[in-house]
Amino acid sequence: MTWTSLRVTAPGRREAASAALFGAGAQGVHEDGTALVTHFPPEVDVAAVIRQVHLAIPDAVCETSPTEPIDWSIHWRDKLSAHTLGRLTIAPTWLAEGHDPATTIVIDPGMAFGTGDHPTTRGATRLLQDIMHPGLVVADLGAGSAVLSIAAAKLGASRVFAIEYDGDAIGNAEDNVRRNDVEGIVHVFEGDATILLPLVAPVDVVVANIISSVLVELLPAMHGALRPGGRAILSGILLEEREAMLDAIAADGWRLEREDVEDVWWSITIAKA
Amino acid sequence: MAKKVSGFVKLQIPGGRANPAPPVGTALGPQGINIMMFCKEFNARTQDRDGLILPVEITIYSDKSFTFILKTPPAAILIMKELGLEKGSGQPNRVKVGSITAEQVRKIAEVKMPDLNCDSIESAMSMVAGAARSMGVEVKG
Repeated sequence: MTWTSLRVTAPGRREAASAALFGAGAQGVHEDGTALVTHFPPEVDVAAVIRQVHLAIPDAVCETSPTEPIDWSIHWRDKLSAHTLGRLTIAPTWLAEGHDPATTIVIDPGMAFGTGDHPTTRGATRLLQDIMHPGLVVADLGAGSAVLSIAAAKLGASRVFAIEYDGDAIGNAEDNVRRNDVEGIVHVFEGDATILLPLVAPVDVVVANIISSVLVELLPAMHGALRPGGRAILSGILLEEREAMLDAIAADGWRLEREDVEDVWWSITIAKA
Repeated sequence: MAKKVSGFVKLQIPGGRANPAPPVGTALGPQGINIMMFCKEFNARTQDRDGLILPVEITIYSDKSFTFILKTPPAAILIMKELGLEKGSGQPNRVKVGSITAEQVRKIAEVKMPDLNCDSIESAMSMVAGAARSMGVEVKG
C-alpha cells in the first residue's frame, strides 16, 4: 500500500504550515531544508489536506509524490555490516550467524554506542591483539558498551574488569556481555576508575578508550595497578595531541611501545619505563 | 571522544507517539540508526507531554549512534492549543479566527523562552504576539 508524501513550502510561514498539517491529521513532520514533509496512508484524502493547508496559507506550495511502503522498523538494518578487525569480527545479532562465536563480538547498535565501529575502538582492538595471550587479567577503563572488554575476553583474558562511570551505560554493557556469553570472564563495575582500578589491581593489561585529558589523569592509577611487564593501551587521543601525550607519559614514567593511527586518531601501547 | 557526524535530521512528532512509520522511518531509516530505540527513547522522554507537537533535532554519527535534543512546541501550535483553534486564518489581516490576552501570550512566551533568542520575557512575548497576528489571532492588551 503506497503512501503519499506531501511537501509544503511556505516561506516565512513555516510554523503556520506545520500547525495546518497537524490540524489536517499529519502524524509527524520532517523539516527538510525550507520545506515541511509529511506522509499519509492510502485511506487519507490528500487533496482535502492540501485544501486545508491553503485555507491557512493560500500561497503555500504543495507537492505530492508516492512513498514506497518500506517497513523501517526492520530495514534500518540494511545499512549495517559486519566488520573484521584482525582476528576478531564485530557484527550485529542478525549478521553474526555464520561467524565463529569464539572470535565474533556481537554488538547491536544503540543510541549511545552505535556499532562499535569507531576508529578509536578499532585502534585499541588492533593493539590489544598484539599483546593479548591466554590467562591475562585486564581492566577496561571507560568501558562504555564493553566492546573492548569482550574483545579481551575473546582474545583469551581470564578475567576482565569493565569499569564505567556513566550509570546509563551499565545496562548496555551488561547486555552485551551476556549476548557474547562472556559473563564468567567480564565483570562490569559502575564507578570512578581512579577509585575502582586500585581495588581490582594487580592486572596485566589496562585498556582505556577515553578523551585524552582523562587518560592523563588516570596515568598514575594505571601505573600503580599494572603487574611488572604489564602494559596499558590508550585510545581516544587525537593525532594533534600526540606530542602533549608523549610528554605526559614520559613524565609519569612510561615508555611508548607501539603506535596506531587511523584517520585523526592516535592509539598507543605503553609500558612502565 | 568526539565522533564524526554523518547526518542531522529535524522532525516534529507528537510527544509519546513516535513510531517507525513515516516520517520517522523515512527520515531516519536511510541513516541506518536503530529506529525502534529512537522511538522508545523519544516516547520515554516525552510521555509527560503526550500528543503535544514537539520539534526534535537528531544528530547521527558515523558509527550509527545518535543523540537528540527536544525543543519547545512551535508557537503556532501552542497558540492554537491555548485558544482551542483547529487552524489559523488564510487571510490574517482581514479574517480573524480568535483573540489572545497578554496573560496568555506571557504563558506561551514562558514555555518558548528556552528556544527563543531573547534576553527578556517581554521580547519573547513580542515574538509570540507576532506569531499570533500572522495566523489571524488578535492580540488584546
